[in-house]
Amino acid sequence: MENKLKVYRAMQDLTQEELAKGLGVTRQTIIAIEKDKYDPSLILAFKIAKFFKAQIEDIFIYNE
Amino acid sequence: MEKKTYQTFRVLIGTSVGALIAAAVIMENLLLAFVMLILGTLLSYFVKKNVYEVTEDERTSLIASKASRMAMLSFLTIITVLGIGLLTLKNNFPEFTQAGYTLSYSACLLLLFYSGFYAYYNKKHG
Repeated sequence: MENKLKVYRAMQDLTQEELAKGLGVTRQTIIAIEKDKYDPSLILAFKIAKFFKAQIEDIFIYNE
Repeated sequence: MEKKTYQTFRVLIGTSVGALIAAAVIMENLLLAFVMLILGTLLSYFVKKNVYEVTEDERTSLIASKASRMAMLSFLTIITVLGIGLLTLKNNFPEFTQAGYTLSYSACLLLLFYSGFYAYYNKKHG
């Protein structure tokens, strides 16, 4: 699953560390999500969407 | 406590406890080794409790569960094959018969534990 996490993070001028703290996860998890190496759980995806005040579908792109 | 400080403490505690346990084993004082292990575990627990940064999350849990499962399956395969192998060859190598029984029963016990925990978590998560 692709995502635009890096784009949204850049739009708000946040570092990976700051975003990780805001979401309550490790910086390594943010790095893994941005590199498409890890798909977050539904709860974390909702937290990310809420954090950026966006819809989940705007941030995460599901490709079949 | 910051995460970097915690990681430094963790290395220090691990190294110290390891060295002390090795010294205790050399001195043939197993009680001391056991006490060092318990103390090291407690110390690690209290140090980790004071870390205010996030050290574990869903991703680390996923990695740990996958690594544990692979380690258990690999170990189970090896001890099963070894155990059955030693018992099959008990006429040729009678001195290894006890080891074969130990390995085989250990494999059965591990399977029993795995089945039990699998059933428990299967019920817990619907």
